[in-house]
Amino acid sequence: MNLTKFTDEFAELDAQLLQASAQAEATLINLLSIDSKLAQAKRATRPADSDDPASQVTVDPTR
Amino acid sequence: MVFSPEGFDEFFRGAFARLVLFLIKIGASREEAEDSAQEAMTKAYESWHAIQHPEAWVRVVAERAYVAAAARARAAPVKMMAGSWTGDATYTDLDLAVFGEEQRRVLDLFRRLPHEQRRVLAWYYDGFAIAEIATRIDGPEATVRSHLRHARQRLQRELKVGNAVADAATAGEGTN
Repeated sequence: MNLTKFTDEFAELDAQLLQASAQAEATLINLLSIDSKLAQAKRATRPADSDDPASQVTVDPTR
Repeated sequence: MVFSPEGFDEFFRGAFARLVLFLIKIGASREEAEDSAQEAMTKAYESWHAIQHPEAWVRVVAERAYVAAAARARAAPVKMMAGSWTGDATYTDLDLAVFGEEQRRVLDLFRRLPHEQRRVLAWYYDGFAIAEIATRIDGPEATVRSHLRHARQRLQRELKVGNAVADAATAGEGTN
């Protein structure tokens, strides 16, 4: 299949969908608290590699 | 204090919303999309130094997380993965209410496509080449092209019909 022709055939559709996608992404960026999600992702991994003493509670397995 | 691996914060800020949108396009509700994107990003954070193509990596992981969560929540993953027409999907317009009219219309059309077509289209409009999509979804390039063609033909038809209806409505308003 000729990819150029394949692409041109849908050029108008592609442009319309890409524009709608970009606008939807902008809407989500405004809506989501990206920095709080980032902090959440880091917190989720914290017990394994944190230097925060609060997350380094050791448990005596014999008790 | 926890320091991020180099480049992760920048990647997260630039990619998170697009990843959520990717999942919405393949059929997730907004809540499911946010949860699955968050899960994928957390895993990316853990394995950051070993990931060569983070944009593709988080999509694969997030999609798996979404499919697993959807399977648990709905107990109907077989129908979803079989590529059935999902015009009877359980989502309502409320789920997309935050988006503008044109964005909602496009996302709604995405959701009406069979799963495999939706999936390929979501990858394609996020800028991935056909060969890379084939690698990531583990299918032949010819199949990716075929899904892409059928999906775009269908969307083109639906959008034309939608535009014609909107034009007719506008013309009708003008005569009243």
